[in-house]
Amino acid sequence: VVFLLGRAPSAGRVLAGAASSVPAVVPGIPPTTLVALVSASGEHRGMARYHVTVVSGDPSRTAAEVATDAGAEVIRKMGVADGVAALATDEQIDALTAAGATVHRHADLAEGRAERLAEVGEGDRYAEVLRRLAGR
Amino acid sequence: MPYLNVVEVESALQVVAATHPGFTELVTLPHRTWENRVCRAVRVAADLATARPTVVLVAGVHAREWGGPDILVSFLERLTAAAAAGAEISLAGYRVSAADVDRIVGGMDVVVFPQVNPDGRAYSMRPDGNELWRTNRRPSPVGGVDVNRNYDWLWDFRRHFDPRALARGEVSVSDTPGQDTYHGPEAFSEPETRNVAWLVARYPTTRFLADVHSFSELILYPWGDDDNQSTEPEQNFRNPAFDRRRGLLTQNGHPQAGRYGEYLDPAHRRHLIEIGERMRDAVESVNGRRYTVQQGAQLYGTSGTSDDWTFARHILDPARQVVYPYTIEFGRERTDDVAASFHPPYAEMERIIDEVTAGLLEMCLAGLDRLAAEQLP
Repeated sequence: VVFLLGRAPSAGRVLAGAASSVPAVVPGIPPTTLVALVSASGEHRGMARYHVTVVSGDPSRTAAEVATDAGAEVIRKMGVADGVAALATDEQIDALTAAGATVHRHADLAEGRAERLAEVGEGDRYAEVLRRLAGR
Repeated sequence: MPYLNVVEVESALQVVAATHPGFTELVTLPHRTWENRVCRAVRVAADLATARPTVVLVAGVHAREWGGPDILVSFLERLTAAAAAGAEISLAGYRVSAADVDRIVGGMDVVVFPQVNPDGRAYSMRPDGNELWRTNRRPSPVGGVDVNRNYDWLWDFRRHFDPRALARGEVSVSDTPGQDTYHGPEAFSEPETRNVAWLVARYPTTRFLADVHSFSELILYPWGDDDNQSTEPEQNFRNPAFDRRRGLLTQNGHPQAGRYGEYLDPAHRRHLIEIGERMRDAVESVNGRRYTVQQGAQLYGTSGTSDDWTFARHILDPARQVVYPYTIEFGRERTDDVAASFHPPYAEMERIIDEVTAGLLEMCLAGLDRLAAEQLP
């Protein structure tokens, strides 16, 4: 997945509706838009995502502004000493760094995922009771 | 015992309704989700033919917050089992007597809608899905919508909020498709939001509402747009003179924060805090976790949320009775594990289920006390 530099179409979407635009945050390239292969529904297909802390490098812009502009997902509920917690792909981290932000990369969100998904029920634990109730 | 999957949540409701047909009713919501799922709620009431003051409980709004539906299913199973047996509900450190169970079921309608966004939950729980998905599953070209930003309360946030607060990312809402807080193409554009609104409209005697989310160990009450104040009634969400001035919160250090505050009737503020603190104390009695009772905006600014929309209804139509709404943010933050912050390991979730169930039961009892006080001369 690469970022493409180009003008955003008026609808803010490119690649036949399969991607969304992200406003530019790269200094010196103001009229352009960074375009990532992120679907309009916000999915990040095939891309690793990380829990990150973003600290703005620009005193006039908050970390939340910078992170949102780069397409990262800000997790406002997570308290950090400085900056904001966010979820970001490698490409978004690169864009943030290029914009002058400091990015602390924490865990890959795939870590522990299998264990967490193993704690989701399979089948229907109520099926037998439902059958019994239906038959009475 | 693992988290309930999407099918199991629906099955659990059917089991409860079929087991206790004398005092429960399965309610089918009118709007199918984008993936064509049918949603259901259960109404618990000793007298199903008569409308009583109603408590509406909803969960499963944000896909990745897996524990909400499990909490409400457990609450429902415990309440109905105790009511049927004439028994008490006993949790570690917290107990509701059989008489109080009877008081809840006899004096109120309790409407439980545990899975508002089943499509999102299914996607978050699927091996080939996205575990940290938040929104519904509206397909492209619009894409996922944050159900809890889609209610018709200050929904058109660019018109209502100060551009500086928006630009600084201090208001948790977006009009960009693909963002996790995307508020949708219009207010109530989403079937999930319309289902909750339909439920509140179907039970016009609704007086209390809780929307269960994770995480942060908070009990939030209105308002979510700006600092509450109780001295300047003209500063309110209906007044266009204050458009583009909302959202500069004191906590964010804005020198102009004081130029707007959302008006909250002092009596309503007192009652909201009083009920919220009783919920907090009940929660704490189970596992010792002390949730914080605060107004929503102290977490972050928002628009289009369920609690503010519900609370605004009696202001927009004075014929309606006030609804006391809460957003519960269960579970603690895990600084090193964002996924487990949203859905903790199930062993921990079981403890959370107990503590939030206690909080919700206490909400019912505090609600009954509030209703009794309203009838005093």
